[in-house]
Amino acid sequence: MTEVTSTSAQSTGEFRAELSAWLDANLPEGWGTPAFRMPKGAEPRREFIRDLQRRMAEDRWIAIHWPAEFGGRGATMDQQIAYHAELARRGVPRPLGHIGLNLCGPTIIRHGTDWQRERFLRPMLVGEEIWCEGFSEPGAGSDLAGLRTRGRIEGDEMVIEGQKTWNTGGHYAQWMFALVRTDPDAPKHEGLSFVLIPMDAPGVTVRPIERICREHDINDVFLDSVRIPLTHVVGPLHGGWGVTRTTLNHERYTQFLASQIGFRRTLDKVVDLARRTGPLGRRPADRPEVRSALARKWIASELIRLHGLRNIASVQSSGEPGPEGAIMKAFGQEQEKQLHELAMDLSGAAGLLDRGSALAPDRGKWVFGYLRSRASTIAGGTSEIQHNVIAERVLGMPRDPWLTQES
Amino acid sequence: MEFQLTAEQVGLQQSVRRLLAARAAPRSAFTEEAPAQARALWAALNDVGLGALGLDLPQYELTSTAIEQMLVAEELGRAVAPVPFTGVAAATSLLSRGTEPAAAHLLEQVIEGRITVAALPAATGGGVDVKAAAGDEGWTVDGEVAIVPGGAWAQTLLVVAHTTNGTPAVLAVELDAPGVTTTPLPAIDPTAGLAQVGFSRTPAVPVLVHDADEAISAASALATLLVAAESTGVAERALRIAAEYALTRRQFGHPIGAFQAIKHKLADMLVLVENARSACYGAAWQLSGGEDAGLYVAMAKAVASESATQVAADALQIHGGIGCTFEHDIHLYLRRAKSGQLLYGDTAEHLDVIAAALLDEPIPGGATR
Repeated sequence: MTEVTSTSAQSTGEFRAELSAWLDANLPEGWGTPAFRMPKGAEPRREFIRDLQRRMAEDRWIAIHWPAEFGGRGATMDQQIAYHAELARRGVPRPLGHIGLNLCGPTIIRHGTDWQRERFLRPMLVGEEIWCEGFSEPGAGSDLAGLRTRGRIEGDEMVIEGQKTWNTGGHYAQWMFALVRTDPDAPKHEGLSFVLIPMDAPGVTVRPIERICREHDINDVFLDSVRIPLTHVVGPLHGGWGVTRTTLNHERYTQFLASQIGFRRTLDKVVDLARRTGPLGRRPADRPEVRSALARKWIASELIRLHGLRNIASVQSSGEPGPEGAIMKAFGQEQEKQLHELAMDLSGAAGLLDRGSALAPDRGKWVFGYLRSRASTIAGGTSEIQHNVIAERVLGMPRDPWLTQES
Repeated sequence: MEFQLTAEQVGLQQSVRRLLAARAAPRSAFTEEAPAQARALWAALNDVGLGALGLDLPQYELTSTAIEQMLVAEELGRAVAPVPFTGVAAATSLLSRGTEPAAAHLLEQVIEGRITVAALPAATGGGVDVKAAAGDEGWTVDGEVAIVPGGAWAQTLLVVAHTTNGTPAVLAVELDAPGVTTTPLPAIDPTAGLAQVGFSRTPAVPVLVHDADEAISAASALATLLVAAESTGVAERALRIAAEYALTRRQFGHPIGAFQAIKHKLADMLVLVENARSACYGAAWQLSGGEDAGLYVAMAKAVASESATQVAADALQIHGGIGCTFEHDIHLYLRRAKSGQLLYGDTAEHLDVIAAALLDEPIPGGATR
């Protein structure tokens, strides 16, 4: 790392120009032209991204929201928006281990020890160590604080016993950040600790979960007497719930950037599909109901962007992101599901055709998307939970009568 | 776009809110006193400068933009205030672009409080049924405008008419001039002050005679945004009333807001309110920046007016039986919301505008396949 100054004093225009110049000089030859192809296959592709990521990290272009002293740029929100827009425009892939970069990194920076920062941040930044998340459990989904994976203290070690699920990337990650119950006698939210677990530790078993779209990116992770030193606890022992709130708030705060860009890209492809004459001879854009449905999805894409900008404005005036993030999330995740359904419906019966069929519109992409997007109103908090959060924390409604016993 | 309101903008919002809390009486629109009440309320609002909002007039030291107008419109919607704000804003927009000598004087009159409302074809999505002709004794107009929002309270009307060579022009007509028939129209929302206005050899003063199209479409875009912003205010207030009711009304031993059937409905309503507001902010910032805002205005109108109707209807539903009584205020919001949804282009029309831009424009850079 050559300099350690924050770029927050830079105007967004200066920042954008510097980024643009860097990308011009450093993206591989032929990038952005139709002839350019990323390597095929998961591992060669990861290797390619890792190489680019290493060079970006050298010049502090990876976790730009991190403070400058930890290899970021202390970038302002406007700079982050410009950064994500520019990378999306040029089709630069997301860095490896973005879960770590966005969630675990900021948590270690905020709550970690000097040793933890020294040991973990740099390999995370360059993509040498990929992180996965170990929050959800079979019995703790929406009710995360009800988790039961035990962390028993033995001298200066912790022995972990339990099961995590809905774990993204555990089959190639080197580390997992997780919440475990270290004090079973304390009230539900008070006995948890935030820990860092090496995936190659004895007793860690990763079992793949296959999605309905036949993709494998999520896993069960079994923890069978896994030993970690107590130096791997982030923040106070038993204080994991408070630490996790930083992580989850950060998730919501930065999420909209990626989700808006993703939504817009999908929308552009759906619009493109609607303008073509399909394999069964009809052009969707000629049908009035398709036209208004697509107009509504353009609106949704703009609303996701505008909500995000308004949320940032309120973060900037009040300091912390509030539960309003749940409003964006509830809206965005529903829209994503609807957009994929619309994409499939556009082609009528031909829309049913999947990968492997020559007639399948866009090589079966939409069947995959329709099935995969079922998860969007479930992952990261179901829409039902988002509705409770909105009604209770924003509108001040009382909790459900059933829940008043337990909290 | 930076969606931070300045201290002045927040101050404006608050002072209008306070004034309306003390003075706006939506139920007066259901009585014989409606026109007198509406004019008195407008006079009070004009005293704090609402008639001149959106103008850039060095001689009056006035500079404000569509953002301030939007914020005020939201407050008017929240209060269901029976005033012709949208029509006046459209009129000042036209007058500030007026090319004929009378425009400046007419504008001064608006700022002094004369209720001058633009009768825009965009309000009903219809064509122009008024003809204007220049004779020896000046201009006259003939024909009819079927629905003029605020027409029931206006003193001066800006009419869009066809001249003898077929191009549109904007002319000012005094509503007490000979040959004018103003018929107030009973409608779902009396706070809109709808009227039908007919002209028969009525003397008129030209405001814009040549190249009026651009000014008319700018005024229409502004009026459309302001109706959308009023709808946002309607929706916001209807939601708050429903939330308050859900906290106080108890059944089965609990406030009804504790039950998920109610709280999830309220959460959906809040999403709709925030959608409406984001859409209006997007359009207002775009307009105030002088950029082409057509798609964003269409979005604001489609989103805000549909959301408001849904939110007001849901707010009524949450009230149960009492919501169906004239005595309870919640129907005022439903009326205003529905009125805002069908004036200045309904949802389908605005979606069409967006769909055309999305689907009928040539693909940038030529066909991709």
